[in-house]
Amino acid sequence: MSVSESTIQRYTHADPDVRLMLRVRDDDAVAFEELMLRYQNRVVSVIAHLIGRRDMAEDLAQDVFLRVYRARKRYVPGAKFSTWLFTIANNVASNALRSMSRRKEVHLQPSPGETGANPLELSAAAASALMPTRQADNAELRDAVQRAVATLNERQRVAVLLAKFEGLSYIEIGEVLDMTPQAIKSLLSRARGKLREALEPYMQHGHVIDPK
Amino acid sequence: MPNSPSSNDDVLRDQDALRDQLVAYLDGELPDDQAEAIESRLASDEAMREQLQGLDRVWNALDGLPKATVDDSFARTTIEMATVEAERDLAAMTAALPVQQRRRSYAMLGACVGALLLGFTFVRAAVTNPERQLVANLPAVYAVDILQEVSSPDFLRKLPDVAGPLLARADDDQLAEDLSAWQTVADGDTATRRAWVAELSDNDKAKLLEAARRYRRDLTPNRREAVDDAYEQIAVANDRDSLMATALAYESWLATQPASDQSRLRQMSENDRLAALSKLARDAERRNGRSLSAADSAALRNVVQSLAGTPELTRLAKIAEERLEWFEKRLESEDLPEDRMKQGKRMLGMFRGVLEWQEKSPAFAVQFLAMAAEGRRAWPSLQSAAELAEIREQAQTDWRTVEKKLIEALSPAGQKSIMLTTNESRRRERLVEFVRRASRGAMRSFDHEEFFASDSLTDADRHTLLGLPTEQMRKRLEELYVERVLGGFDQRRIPDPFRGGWPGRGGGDRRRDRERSSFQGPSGGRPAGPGRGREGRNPDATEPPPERGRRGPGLFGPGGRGSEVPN
Repeated sequence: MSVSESTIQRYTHADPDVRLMLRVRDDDAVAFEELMLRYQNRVVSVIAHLIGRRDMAEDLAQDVFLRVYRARKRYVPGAKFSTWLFTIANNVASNALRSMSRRKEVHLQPSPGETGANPLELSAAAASALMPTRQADNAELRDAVQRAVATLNERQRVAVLLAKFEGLSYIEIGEVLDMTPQAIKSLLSRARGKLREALEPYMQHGHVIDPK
Repeated sequence: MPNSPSSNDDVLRDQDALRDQLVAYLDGELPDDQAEAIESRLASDEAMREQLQGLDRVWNALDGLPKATVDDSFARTTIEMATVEAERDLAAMTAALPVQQRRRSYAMLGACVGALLLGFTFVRAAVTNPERQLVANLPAVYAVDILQEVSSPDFLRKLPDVAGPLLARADDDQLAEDLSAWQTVADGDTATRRAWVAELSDNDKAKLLEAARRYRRDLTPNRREAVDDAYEQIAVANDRDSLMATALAYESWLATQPASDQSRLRQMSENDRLAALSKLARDAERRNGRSLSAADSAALRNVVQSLAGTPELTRLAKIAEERLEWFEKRLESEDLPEDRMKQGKRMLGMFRGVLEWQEKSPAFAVQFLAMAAEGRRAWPSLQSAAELAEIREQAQTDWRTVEKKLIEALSPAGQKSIMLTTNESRRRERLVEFVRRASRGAMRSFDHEEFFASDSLTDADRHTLLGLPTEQMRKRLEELYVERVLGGFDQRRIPDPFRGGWPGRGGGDRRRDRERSSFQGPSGGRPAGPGRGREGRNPDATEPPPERGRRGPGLFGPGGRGSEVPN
């Protein structure tokens, strides 16, 4: 779909990262480095949460930036740069999830090896969390949040991560996921409903809901 | 009795719909009317408030998700991989070509891809080497101080018009040098930038490294991003070089201001800052008096003298002459009460005086032309609105011819001072001010000995002068100078028509007006010409004009617009 000149001008004017990418298009290596420095941590974080594997996230994030580099000559600013970048990141993560699924590698909740907690410890944590007046400490809550995110499906996770950590609007998330803003509204609503089911009892009453 | 399945579905659908609205409300994605509806309901619905708070709490809990950070090797290895791909692209491109073309094209392709490889190679190293980081950010570092003062390219575009006089005080040669340097670093690839840095003097290198330190360490991340953003916006603008020149001139002026003023300006909004700078520019102009060099003063006097008798300077006088003759005839033919006749004759005398100034003093004629071009009523009581419009149009055409010659006569600095504003009216006012000062400066630049030896005097003049006592000789020399060089009168005695300086109107010297020596000369004046009425001039002709605003019948022309005659 072609992009209108007014749209190009609008994003070029409003988004400094678009301007950087236009310099990358003109083979400005310094601009490419600058974009990477601005986004590398964010892209790795989003991919890590999408696929549940921190170790693979860096490789996939590199793949994202290489795709940006390869696509530079065809780059046209039809959206915010971050929207375009995370569309690529989502594609890369989706592809990875599919191939992992084929290889039966998917395990989105942190394994005992990753968190350092064994089942006995988890039970103890859950038991102590049953005490009504108890508030979770940071490590427990962090684990609970990760488990809660793991209860979401892939699209819900992408939408939540982009809305929460990248501040993308419903329209922008829709561009990443190829969905309408109304569909994103429903998607995020269901996702946050599930998160609330998963987390609020834990936060209020102190017990963990098994994500299975 | 349990709820029916359909009613359960309805309830769930309603609950889903409510949750959709609450989530969108938290995300700021609801239209205003729907957001207001939610807020109204929240005020009275505790269950809904709890649901909203629950959703919000959970959303905030997501901040607990671990955030990844990568080290320097991530960017380095990614760039290396991109470099490898670029090399592969080059190899693939050359392999696909026929052999002969390959040899010819390799240099060209190699130059293109090689530049990219070179850039990437240096960037790769720049990730870990502080000096190479300096090279990578050089354009922003070079201008780090001024980029902090610039809110947007539009600010720089507006600046010359509102604060031109402040920018004009910058050293042009230094500005040109700074702009050229900035262009080199902005346009240059990494190798060019490194070469430029290497060629700097030790002193300049130290300054640059200090700027780099300010950029990297003193600026907060937000401020650094703002500086980078300001640079980016300038770099991609079509008028990039003009913007940067303005920025450098602004920086040059700003450096002369007290630190407290600099800080105050920096904290203002863009519009407030432009307004403050505009006021400072006007104050500076008033203080400096828009100085005119002696050379420009003399040049203007020469040009003005050369314009004497040209159609541009005589047209208005001819129109005025016709009008005054008509006015005079009406005065003679109408049967007016004595006081009105007296008043009319006074006005006639005043107008005749102005007309004579126009004819005798090209400098005055220039000013008069400028006034007519402004549309000012040069001949009150003698012009209708229609006539004024016609006169104005012709005067503007004539002014443009005169203006061109005046500006061409000035030095580059003088021209720059005039051309500071693109506003035609303000430029005209400025030029007229210069002409006035130049013509008044004629006497200041008068040198007795030089004039005595000049061609303006004959041997007979010199013989006569030498027979006089010293003081009388000096005075006589001045009189002859006024008569023979200044066209018969001293411009210092002519008031400024722009400031209402008509004879007896308050802008002139009443004592001088009574003596009426400004255009007659101290030797007793020139003989009156026919039909000009000078001999019959009313000695009271320089008394104040009639009171404004009181209108009489249409004695003074059609339409009665000029009928400012007391009843």
